[in-house]
Amino acid sequence: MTYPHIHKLVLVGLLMMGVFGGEVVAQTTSLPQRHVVKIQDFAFQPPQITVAPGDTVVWVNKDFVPHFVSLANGRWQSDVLEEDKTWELLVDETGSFHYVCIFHPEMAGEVTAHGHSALSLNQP
Amino acid sequence: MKNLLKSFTYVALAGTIFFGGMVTTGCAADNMMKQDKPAFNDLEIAHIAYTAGALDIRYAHLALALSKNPEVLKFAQLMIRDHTAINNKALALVKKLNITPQDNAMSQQLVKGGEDILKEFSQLRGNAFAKRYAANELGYHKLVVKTIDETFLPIAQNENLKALLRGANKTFKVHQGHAETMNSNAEKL
Repeated sequence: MTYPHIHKLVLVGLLMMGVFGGEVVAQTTSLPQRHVVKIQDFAFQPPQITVAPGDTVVWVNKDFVPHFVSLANGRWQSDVLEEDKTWELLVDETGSFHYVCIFHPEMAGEVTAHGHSALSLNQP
Repeated sequence: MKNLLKSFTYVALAGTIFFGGMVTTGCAADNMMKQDKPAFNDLEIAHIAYTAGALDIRYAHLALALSKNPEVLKFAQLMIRDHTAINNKALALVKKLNITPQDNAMSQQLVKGGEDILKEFSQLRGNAFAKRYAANELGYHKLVVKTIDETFLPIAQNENLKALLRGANKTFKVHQGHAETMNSNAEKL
């Protein structure tokens, strides 16, 4: 039993490898992650998280009173978060981002984003 | 429910009560709490707690109207925002449990004390207002925190009420910290 179409495919594959200089390019994709930061007892829990660009951070307020999440330089900020309300941020760059609650500035947290974008193809 | 809301409205309008008044009528309140038998039932605690928040909201509105001090204004906004949230939570609990908070001697004392403080505040301007407001808020929150921890929580029976008091007191402890900073800065004015 022969499979001529398979032979052709193998041949095409070998030719393509030649076209690309003989290198096999391994491509993997990692899915974006969702990270939850709970706001409870006037603290961000966990206070520090590490993410990759493309990940989403979700803040959920479990306190009675409203909170207002804001990057220290005001570059991004949430809406006023009443009890049980959430706010999501799509992280689109690398770096360490210190944030506070504008209403209760003693509440502070940090998002550290590094690595390749989870949305892109990673090439070893 | 209508009567309850009416009652709360009356309480709020009547002078909004509780702990603020305790700063000046603290001795009477302390004496009430030192009685042998539990001084308050759950319905009275609910009444006192709600009116305490309403009182601080009234102080804050007066501060917004009379003060130009940025720290005072920020603190007053925080008090309105947080105490309103907590009082709304209390109203929701009252509705859920289908209860009517009871007016009581402490609430009445607090109303009177609160009226006196509001009258005093209304005569002050500038740094004098900032200093008096800051000192009152610090005293108020210290007493609130202490009263809830040492008096109300040990005698409250309903678990929902206790949970509300615990949650509220976490907020009041944070407020106390803010008030300490505000008061410290106001003393330098």
